[in-house]
Amino acid sequence: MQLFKAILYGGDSPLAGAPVDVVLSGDCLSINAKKIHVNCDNIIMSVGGFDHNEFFLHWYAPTGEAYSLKLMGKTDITFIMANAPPSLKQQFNKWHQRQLSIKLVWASLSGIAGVFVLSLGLLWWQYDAVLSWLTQQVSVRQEEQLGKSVLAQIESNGDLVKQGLAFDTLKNIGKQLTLNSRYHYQWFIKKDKTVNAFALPGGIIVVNSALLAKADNADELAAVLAHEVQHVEQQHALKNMVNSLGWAAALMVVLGDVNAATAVIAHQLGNMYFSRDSEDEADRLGLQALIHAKIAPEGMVTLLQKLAKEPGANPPEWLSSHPDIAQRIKTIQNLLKERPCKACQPLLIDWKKIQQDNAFFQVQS
Amino acid sequence: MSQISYQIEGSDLQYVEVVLPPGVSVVGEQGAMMYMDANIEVSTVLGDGSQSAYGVAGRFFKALKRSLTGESLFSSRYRNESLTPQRIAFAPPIISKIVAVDLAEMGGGLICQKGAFLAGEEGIEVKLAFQKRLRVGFLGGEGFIMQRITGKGVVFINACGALKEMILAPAQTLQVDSGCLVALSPTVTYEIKYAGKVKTALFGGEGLFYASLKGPGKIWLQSLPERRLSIELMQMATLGRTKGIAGKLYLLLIIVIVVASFFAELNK
Repeated sequence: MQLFKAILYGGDSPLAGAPVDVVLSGDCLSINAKKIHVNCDNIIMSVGGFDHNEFFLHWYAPTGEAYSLKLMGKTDITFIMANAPPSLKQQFNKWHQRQLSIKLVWASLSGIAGVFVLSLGLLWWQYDAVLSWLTQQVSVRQEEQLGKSVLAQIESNGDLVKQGLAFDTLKNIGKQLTLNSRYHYQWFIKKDKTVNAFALPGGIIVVNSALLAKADNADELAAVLAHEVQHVEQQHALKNMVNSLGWAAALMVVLGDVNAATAVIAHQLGNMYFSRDSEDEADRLGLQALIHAKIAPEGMVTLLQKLAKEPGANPPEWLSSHPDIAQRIKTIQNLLKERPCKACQPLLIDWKKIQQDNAFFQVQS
Repeated sequence: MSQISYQIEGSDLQYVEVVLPPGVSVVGEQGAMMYMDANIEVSTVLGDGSQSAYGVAGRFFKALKRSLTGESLFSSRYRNESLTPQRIAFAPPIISKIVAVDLAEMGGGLICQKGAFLAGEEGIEVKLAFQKRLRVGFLGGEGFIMQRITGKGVVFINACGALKEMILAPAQTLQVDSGCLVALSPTVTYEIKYAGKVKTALFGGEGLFYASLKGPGKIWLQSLPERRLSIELMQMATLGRTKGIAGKLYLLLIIVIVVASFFAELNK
């Protein structure tokens, strides 16, 4: 004789059910208050309710009327499980399985969500490492093709110089700085009145003629080349592209707006500038390359000092994506102070002769 | 016994007029008030105005959860401050019928589809009822989130189309098209069944799955789920641009030309 409380539905009980005392004895279930006696063989159990966690016992009276008994709480269910006749016991396992399967599904779902969030966090944290890994997957040949396609546009203007004394000097200094590199470097002088030099992916380095005129010695040119070579070696252009592609993809997913994503890519492709971090990295590694090649590294400082005196060279730092020139000079000077290069020698090149070279005058015209 | 008396007016587009005895208040969905007598005082409450054991933060969290069920973060409380009964009427914002449910009769709880709550006596709480079974959430037509309305007194719920009230006997099962379920007792088992007939699903217009509701308990069904109505209206709005027979013939001509050129390309 076991007594437990439950709610009875069906018969003359109200819509919300009637609380009753139920007695389970042998293989018979009795509700004395309602004069109901059911054989356990006739009872079907089910799990239901809106939350799928409620336990029902169904049966039909001899008159055909349907009844349901809702058990109240886990303790009652375990109590009945322990004392039920074998015919009901088998059905009880279903309830457990249902509970377990719901738990399993939600546990695995939250696990997947957790892994997703964790990997997003990891990506945020190790963004630079991921970016480098991605760009390393691009082969040198593909990078070269990318650079060549941009070069073709510049070349079509007919401003590129590929011969003469200045060109040869440029090539020689460049070779000293790029020993053992996996890239096949190409060097060009461009007829241009802005003091500038730039690098294209795959090892194409272009120096504007105005920069050659501005430089006072070969060391300064070497400093510029060392800096630009590092943009190539560190794949900065490629990293920029992957970066903007990633942002575009994220924008597309979040906003569902293809136009915004395209705008990001278009903006990136239209601008060949590098972030402050990239410039700093190129400065730092360029300096090391100069020291490694035993070229006097002071040229980097003197050239930057000259650039700083140019009109309009110093926009407020927060406005510019380029690091402030004064800041760069200071950083390089500090690095030089920490590790002075005693073996380094100024390049033995007659710089005046180069600047007076015919080919160079041709460039200037 | 409920403190208020009410009258549901209108045949297809309904509103409900509630008579408030002195000192009694009702809580309504924001913007649902249609008209009211002069001596009713309106105040804005967070969520459904119910208290929480965790103070203000708890009340805010409750209101936030409530707002996920298709209600606004705040609701309006209408209180009769006079000594005579005052009237107030609520009208739902969509083409809908209203049913009044006495929660005492339901055993204190009711599950409704998202956004079904219109108004109710003060003390009634609208909570979030989360569907724990994935297939019911995805295929049942009501989503993962429904409303669990608890408390004492009368609550007014609204839904689009004609509403059918039905009592399911213990173990009695009813098959319902997904999306047609408006409200159910918490004791009703809401499951998804596979129709098993791909041909019917593809060409018969019925879904591949239907909801199965098993008693004991009470259910309310709607003849026209809003989603179905909006799909129909959307189709009319987009297809309606080609007016008359000429436009359709023109379309047919284009299709014929495209198909013909395709075949010509194939036979080259």
